[in-house]
Amino acid sequence: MKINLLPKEERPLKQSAVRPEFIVGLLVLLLLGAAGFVTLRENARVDHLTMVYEKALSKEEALQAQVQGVNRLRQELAELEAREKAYQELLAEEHESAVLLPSLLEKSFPSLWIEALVWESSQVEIVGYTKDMTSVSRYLNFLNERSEESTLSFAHPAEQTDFIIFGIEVKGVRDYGQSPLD
Amino acid sequence: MVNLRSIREKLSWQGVVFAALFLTAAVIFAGFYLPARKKAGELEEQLSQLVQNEQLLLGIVEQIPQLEAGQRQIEDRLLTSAKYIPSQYDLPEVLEGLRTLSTYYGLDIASLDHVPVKSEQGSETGIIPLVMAVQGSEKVFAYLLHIQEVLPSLKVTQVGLGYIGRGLFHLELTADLQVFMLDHAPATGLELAKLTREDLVDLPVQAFGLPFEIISQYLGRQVQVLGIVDFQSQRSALVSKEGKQYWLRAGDRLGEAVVREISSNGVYLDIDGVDLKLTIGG
Repeated sequence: MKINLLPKEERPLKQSAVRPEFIVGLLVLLLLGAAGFVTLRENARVDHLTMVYEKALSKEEALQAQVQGVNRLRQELAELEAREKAYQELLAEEHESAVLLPSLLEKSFPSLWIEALVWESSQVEIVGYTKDMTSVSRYLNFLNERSEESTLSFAHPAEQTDFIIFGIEVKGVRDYGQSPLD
Repeated sequence: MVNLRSIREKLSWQGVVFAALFLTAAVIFAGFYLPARKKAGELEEQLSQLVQNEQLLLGIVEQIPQLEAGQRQIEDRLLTSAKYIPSQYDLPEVLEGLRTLSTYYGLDIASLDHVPVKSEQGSETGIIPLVMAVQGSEKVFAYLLHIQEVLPSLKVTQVGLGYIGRGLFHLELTADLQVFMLDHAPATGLELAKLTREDLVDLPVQAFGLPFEIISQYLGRQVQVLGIVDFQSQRSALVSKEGKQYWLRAGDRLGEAVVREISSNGVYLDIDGVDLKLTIGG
């Protein structure tokens, strides 16, 4: 029988036993390794993100320059649209009534002669003379069919003659059978 | 002291090494890892913001082709309009165009005047007032329509039309030629429409009569039939006008009037479509 007189902590370990210092050391080493590893990995991630961020920044700068181009383009477009609008206003048709003047003259009436007519601001003044007021009435009816309103503005006999001088005012001349233009 | 001694007794070199390593690990974690992680988080957030901005900017930038196409279309339309709308520098071409068109319709331009361009400061458009008098056949109105077609920016403000006899009319036109204002004279872009046709809007001559001033010269005993003579199967009338006496037969002219017929008791005159009968002693 062998008696081990060494203190307990000095005695050799059994083959299956592990020293607690070894385990603690291993754990500390593992902890150190893990800390180093995650730090390195995080730094690598930061480097990668920094690179991506810088690329994105430069791309954004390029896009901002293009956006400024878009803004310039929009401004130019607005100016062009304003000019086109001004042109369209220049081309606006405002002379339909003058165009329709011949429609007031397309029929002649017996013993009725038109001396002159003046179109202004969609109103027509007709001056003429006749030997027969009935023709003037017929002519007025004819004009009323082609305008909003036609009125006899004056009619008086020419001195020492059987002629009557008349004036007619026509408003809102329209294409025959169409709605009024004015 | 007792505690320190007991600790010192308990310390071994392994324990010191382990503590140092542990501290190193803690320093690495707190001093390097955590700041790096924070920075990465910030970068990710900024990147996410940048991506959102990029999407917005890309959305704007994608409009470039559409805007450019729109710009080209408007420029084309303006170019087309510029062919029909004169600038203030195109006035000589416009006046020449009006004269050419009048020749085409066989009309005479009695007068063609304008006043210098009127334009508000900074305005892109201006007005050149035109006053024009044209004489000619029943085609004067077709001419008016044609110039409005050729010069769509010509805004007619007044039209005066009168009959001057023998199938001729007098047209007076007041109009504003609307122009676009240019800072400097370019090579003109104005293209007046080519004269390829005549508008078929003729005025009905029979509806018109000479000014009554002319007609009245034959009325009110100003023209008198003094006598009618039949000689060799031809009938003549002795007519007095303005103190002068004339022997007239059918077909003869007396001023503006044409003797249409001589009856036994009077003379029938045709004053450019207006019929008058002058009786002997009447």
